[in-house]
Amino acid sequence: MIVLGIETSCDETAASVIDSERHILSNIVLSQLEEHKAFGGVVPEIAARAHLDHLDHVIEAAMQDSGLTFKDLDGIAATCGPGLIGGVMVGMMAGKAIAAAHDLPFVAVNHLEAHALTPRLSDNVPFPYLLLLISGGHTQILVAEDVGEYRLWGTTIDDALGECFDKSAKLMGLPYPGGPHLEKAAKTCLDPQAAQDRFSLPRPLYRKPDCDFSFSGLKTAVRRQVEQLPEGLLQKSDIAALACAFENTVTDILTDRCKNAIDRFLKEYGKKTNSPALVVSGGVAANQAIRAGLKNLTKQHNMSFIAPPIELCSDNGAMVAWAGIELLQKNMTDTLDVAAKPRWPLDRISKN
Amino acid sequence: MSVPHKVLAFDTALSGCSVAVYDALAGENCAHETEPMVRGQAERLVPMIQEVLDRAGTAFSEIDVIVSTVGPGAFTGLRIGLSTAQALGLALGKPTIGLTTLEVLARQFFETGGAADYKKLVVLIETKRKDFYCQYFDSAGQPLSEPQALEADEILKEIAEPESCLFIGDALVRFQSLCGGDFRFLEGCELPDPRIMARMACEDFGTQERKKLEPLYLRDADVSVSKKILRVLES
Repeated sequence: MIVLGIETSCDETAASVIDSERHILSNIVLSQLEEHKAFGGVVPEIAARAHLDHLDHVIEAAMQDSGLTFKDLDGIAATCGPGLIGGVMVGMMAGKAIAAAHDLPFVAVNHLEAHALTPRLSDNVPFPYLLLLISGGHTQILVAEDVGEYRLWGTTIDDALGECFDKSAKLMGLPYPGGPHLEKAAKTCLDPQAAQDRFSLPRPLYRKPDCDFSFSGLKTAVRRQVEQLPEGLLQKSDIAALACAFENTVTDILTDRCKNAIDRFLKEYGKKTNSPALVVSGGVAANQAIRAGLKNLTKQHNMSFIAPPIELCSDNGAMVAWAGIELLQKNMTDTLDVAAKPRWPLDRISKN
Repeated sequence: MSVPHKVLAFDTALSGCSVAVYDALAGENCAHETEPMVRGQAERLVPMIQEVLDRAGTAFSEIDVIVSTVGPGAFTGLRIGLSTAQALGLALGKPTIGLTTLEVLARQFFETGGAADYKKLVVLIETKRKDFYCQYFDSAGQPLSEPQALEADEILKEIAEPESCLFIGDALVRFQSLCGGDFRFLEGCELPDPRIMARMACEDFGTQERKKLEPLYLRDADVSVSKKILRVLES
């Protein structure tokens, strides 16, 4: 089975062709970093315009790279939400049009489900598994029980983690996109322990039960710390220390929340799996300090730690095509009158 | 190909969703459908294309050219049409043509005949803001201006003799409420007719440079820049 996947829900215009044997035949991702740079964040209308300007070329390139024609495809998958609705519409309409033109089944993919199923594309992880999804728009702990079956155990009660990274980086005077620049700055910190002692940052919900997150207080604390730094230009060494303290605080919070989730997962699902796994996905999963912290945590619990390759963690078309394949194999297709959804929670089963 | 055979035309840029299949060789419309709607075009457009093709007895593979409006109009609406047209062009390996909503509405007026004693046709399209998308045409149908986004008083200033003008489009009521009712407003040209779009596209086909399928927004994206002062890092 071969599927074309289209992703346009935030600031990456992406298309990919993959097969059900988990071969990525093509994977084109066009980032809109430059378009949004001047504004220090993604501007929805600018994103939608850029998707329209580039999507047909991106799809054409993905088809060309795959060496296939539209006639060789078994289905078309497009992200239909959640996300910035103007961009989602552009990708969804392109997907519907191609499906109609070649009489192919269409799959309306939930962007979060695409992230959730990525470890099955990259590492063939069996259900059930525990998933930490951390991106610019989402921060969730879920159990993936099956295709289309997810249980939401925790979510952010305010900002998403990626948002907190980007805004904190901006406060520190770091360039856009903030996340990767903050990580780079943190790596130049010579004494992480001293940095941690110097900048005390809050860890909301730390050691509290359950798996929810809160990051707005952390962002506010960063603002206060930056204000208190010596006047004039911010010094690189100060920012390196603050970035390092920030990263360590975030890693502490994530491992604390994930520890609760792991305990619960092993209790409730331990007998249903021979190889319990914690999977981390989403754009923030590219952060090495976070990866190391989570890996260490899973080791303590005899769980495997799976992080898809970075190019499959951030937004891409391959994850959408793969979700399309998994859904198609279960005959979970959609009609061409399906609507785009700006909000589309993954847990079709209510939070419990 | 100098003359296309089957033409697929559609519009979703204003308050409707419409599709037509036109047989350029026979010079006749095969099938068409128009539904007024403020939103919902993203759900309706592709099924409507399938239905109209079906009624026209035409397969997707028989389409020779795809025509869509490019704006000005609702940003999301015009992108729905454009993205669909682009992807159909790519998937079928067929050319695409873009027409502005303003030129299509003007053409509709000229094709339906109507009044003749006017010097200038003013097409007004709703922006859902203070201003109007507008363009002026002479009585022979030739454009006298580029498509613009202007406020009512700017339009009145530009057209100089409003009493010798005829106004059409989907923004007449609001324009009238702002400027009074002394002008000549003509109803009936509010939604682009895809049958006329198909014929207009055929005239362009092969003769001159085809009109490209590029969005016509007439307004930059709204961007709010944070007023908070940020500290600067040493370089």
